[in-house]
Amino acid sequence: MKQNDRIDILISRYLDGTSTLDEERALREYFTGDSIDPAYAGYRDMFRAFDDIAIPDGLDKRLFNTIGRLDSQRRSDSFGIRRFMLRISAIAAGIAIVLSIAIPSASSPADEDVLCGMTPEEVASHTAMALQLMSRTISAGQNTATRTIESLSADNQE
Amino acid sequence: MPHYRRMYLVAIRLTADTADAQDAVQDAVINLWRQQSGLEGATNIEAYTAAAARNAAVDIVRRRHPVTTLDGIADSSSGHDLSGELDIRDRVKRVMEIIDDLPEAQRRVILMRDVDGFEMDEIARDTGYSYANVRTLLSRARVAIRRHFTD
Repeated sequence: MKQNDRIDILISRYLDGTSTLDEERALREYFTGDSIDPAYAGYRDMFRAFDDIAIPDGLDKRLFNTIGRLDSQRRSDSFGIRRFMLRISAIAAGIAIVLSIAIPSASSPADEDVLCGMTPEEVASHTAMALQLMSRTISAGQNTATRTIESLSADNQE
Repeated sequence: MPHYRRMYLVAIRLTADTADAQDAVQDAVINLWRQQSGLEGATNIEAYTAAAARNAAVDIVRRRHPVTTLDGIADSSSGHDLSGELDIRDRVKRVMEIIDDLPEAQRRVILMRDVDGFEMDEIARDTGYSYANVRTLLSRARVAIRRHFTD
C-alpha cells in the first residue's frame, strides 16, 4: 500500500471518529515530520496544532512527585522548628542560670562603684525584677513557638 | 478537565515550548501549594489555577528568552528560533480558539481525546455519553476543526 493511500485511510478514520489512539499517534508523527505531501498542507497544520497542545506523557507523575516532595519538606521543617525552639529555650534557660550566678552579692565595699550608689537590697530587687522580665519574655516566646508547632501539626494532619 | 491539564494549555499558549510549558505548570503548582489558604478562598478554582499558570509561564518566557516579548517581536541577534516559536503560538492560539467555539459536548469530548489521550470507553464513562454518541461528537468536532485549517 502506498503511503498516501494509508494516510488517506487514517485521515478518513480520524474524521469519522473510529481511529485508534495508535493510528492517531501515527498521523501526528507523519504530520510533524519533514516529508509531508503538499496535498495534505491543511491537515499538517491541524495535526501539528494538536501535537502542540497534547499533554506530555509523564506530566501528571512529575507534578505528583513535586507535591510529594513539598509535603515531605514541610513535615521535615515542622520537626526542625520544634527542635530549634527547644534549643533556643535551653540557651535562654542557660543564660538565666548564668546571670543568676553572676548577680553580685553586693557585700564587698569594692562593688560599690558597680552598684551605682544603690543599696544591696535595691540591687537585689532590681536584679530580681530583671530576671522576672526575662523569664516572662522567654515564656512568651515558648508559648509562641508551641502555638506555631501546633498550628503546623494541624496543617499536616489535614 | 483536571486543573493541571488546563494549566498546561494556558502555559503552552504563552511559552510555545513543551519543556517550558511543563516547567511553568510545575512552578505554578508549587506556588499554589504554598498559597493553600488562597485556594480555599477562591470562588473559581479553574480561573485561579489558570492565572497561576499564566504568571509562571510569563516568568519563564522573560527569564529564558529575555529578548522575546509576548507579542513575539523577533530579534535576530538572540539566536533563538523565534519564527518557529511564533508558528507554534499561532497554531496553538488558532486551534484553542476553534475548540473553545465548539458546542460544549463536542469541546469536552475532543479535549479528552485529542489533548488528554483518553480511550473512547473512558470518555463515555466519564461523560455519561454512549460510545456511539462520543464517536459522533468527536467526528463533528474534528470535521469542524479541519474545516478551519483546510478552507
